[in-house]
Amino acid sequence: MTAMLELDQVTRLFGSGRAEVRALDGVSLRVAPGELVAVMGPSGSGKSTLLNLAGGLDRPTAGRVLVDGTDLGALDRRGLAALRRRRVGYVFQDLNLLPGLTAAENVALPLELDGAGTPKARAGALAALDQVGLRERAGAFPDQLSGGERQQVAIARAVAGQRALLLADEPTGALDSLAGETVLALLRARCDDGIAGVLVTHEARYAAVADRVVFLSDGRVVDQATAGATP
Amino acid sequence: MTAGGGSRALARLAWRDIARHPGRSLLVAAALALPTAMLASATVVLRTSELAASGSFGQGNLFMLVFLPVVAVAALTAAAALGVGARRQLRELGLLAAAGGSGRHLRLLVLLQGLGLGLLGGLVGIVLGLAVTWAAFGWLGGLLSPVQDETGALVVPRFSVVGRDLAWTVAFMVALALLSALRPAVTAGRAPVVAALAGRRPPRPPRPWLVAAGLVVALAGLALQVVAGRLAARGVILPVQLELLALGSVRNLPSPLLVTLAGAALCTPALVSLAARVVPARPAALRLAARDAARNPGRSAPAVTAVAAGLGMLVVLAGLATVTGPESSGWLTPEAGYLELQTAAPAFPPALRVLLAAFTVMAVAVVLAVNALGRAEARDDLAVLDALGAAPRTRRALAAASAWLLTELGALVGVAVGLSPLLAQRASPSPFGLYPTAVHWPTLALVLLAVPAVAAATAALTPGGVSRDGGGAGDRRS
Repeated sequence: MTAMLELDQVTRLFGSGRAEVRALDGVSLRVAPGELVAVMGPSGSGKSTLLNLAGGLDRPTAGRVLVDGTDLGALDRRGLAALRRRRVGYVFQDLNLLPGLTAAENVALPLELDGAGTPKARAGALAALDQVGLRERAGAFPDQLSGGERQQVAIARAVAGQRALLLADEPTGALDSLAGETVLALLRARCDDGIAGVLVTHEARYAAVADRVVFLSDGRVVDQATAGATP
Repeated sequence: MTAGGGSRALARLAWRDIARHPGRSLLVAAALALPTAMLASATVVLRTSELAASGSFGQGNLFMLVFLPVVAVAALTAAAALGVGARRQLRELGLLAAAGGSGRHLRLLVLLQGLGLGLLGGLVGIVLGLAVTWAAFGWLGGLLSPVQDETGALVVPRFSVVGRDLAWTVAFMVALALLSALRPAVTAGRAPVVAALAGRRPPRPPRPWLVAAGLVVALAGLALQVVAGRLAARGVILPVQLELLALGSVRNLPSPLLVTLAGAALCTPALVSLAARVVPARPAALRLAARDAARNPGRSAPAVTAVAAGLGMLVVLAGLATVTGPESSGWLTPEAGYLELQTAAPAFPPALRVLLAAFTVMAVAVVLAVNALGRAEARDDLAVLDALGAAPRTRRALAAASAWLLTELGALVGVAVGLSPLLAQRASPSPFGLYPTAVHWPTLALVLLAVPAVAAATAALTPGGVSRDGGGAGDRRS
């Protein structure tokens, strides 16, 4: 099956000379449509760097990153921005939403940025909010939502439109365990719908929802396991 | 679908951001309202007085010479506030980029914020300017001569608003707002997404060429002042546009003064950086203030320039009081039926005193406004200070030191610019004493000592200088 996300011998260096840091060192990874891959590892192991490269927020020093067959190295800043609007969705640990916009407006934003008219974008946003069970909170501003609800809205935004790749960086980090499990269940459900997902997490119990777990240490993939075999 | 879309969503977001930060928005709107009010008022008065003066542009040029520094102060203050806003919103800009916003979208968002505030402030300014002019027109009308209409009949000047003038004022207002937002917008558009998401500012590359360019422009301004003085002494009449900005002498002031000021403005980031290196280690508040100013040139340099523009004009205007000779001038006095610069002025005419006070208040207001912006920007740092057990007086000392430093630097630049006509006069001695011929020491003392002291004292006593709850280190949303 064609990979939705493919990292091929990706290296990312920061700094230079004696201050050089090798955040990722020859990492290769493939994520198929409908597959959820969890990335685990200690702080500084390169998890967030991997996610940033996968979403086109950053560029590798060496190696290739392909999303849906498109080599991100061939895209300029504008092309990368377009990719994030159309194909890639992000969920961060906290402060995911623009506080000046309602839940529906936050979800509709990538669609509107991509040129969709307001009614069409809103319809797409409401459909995405419906998928995460938050349609009735569409008019609420972020500060009127609980932490779990904010993450659900962020997930709705990440999958709205024709997104094919969902990247989640510690999405449960700021949540209690019940809200965390709800968010994870939503991520799993979106992947079951055919979206490829990468979940960065510290917690093994959350990684258990993934199809596969990749362990990073010092910028290298040191182990891979199916979810059932997670320590 | 294209990246060109999303304007409506961004306009909505910009407007909500304006509403979410009322203090900052009010500052930008007020800064932009001031010159717009002046312009709206001037279009009414100057059109009338221009008729009365049979086409003389004298008053218009004189107005512009006062007006342009006010425009500079307003634009710089607004730019500083918008820049602080963009930096405080760094995480939001990062989120927007992560959601697919391109550099163009980020730039557009900041520009729309500036435009919204410009329209808001501009409309208030127009209403305010026209209202004040209308209220004062009874007094003002007495200064204006009856005008001859097409039939040769004498018509008493009356308050009237010309639609075309208002349209130009609106255009000016929009241009000023966009100009103020331009630099913050460009910076926002260039911010690396990963750094923005982490709330980290992109590194600022050193720009040594800026100082060199500033010095060249300032020296060119000085040279133009000398040329302007010679042309004026020979009685050469130039087209009004040239007279105003490049080679003229507006009454007793060389208009290239504004070029000198622009050159000095380019040097202010380096000056702020230099100050951080030379201030003594103690008092600690001054050292911290200097480091903060150097770390945030986008905020401190416009503040220094704005103060320099205000105080520089103060020095220049005070210098007029020193002018002697057959062509010497005093200040605006109602003689010969219309506003005119008169000879044999008293040492310090009342109108000059009013202007001096106005420029002083403006300079102090700018510093206080920029200080408030600084506090908003450094809220996390101040929260750390609080957590470390800093007493409320520490915050007051920091606020005072920051206000003093920015005002003093602005005063130094302002004095250098304000005394440049004196240099031009020395380099090009005129038998008519066209330019200020001596230093007006009381004003220099006011500018270099009193104004910074007032700014420091006011900042220390401002409520925002004292620790308050609610500005925790974790709050990155405002």
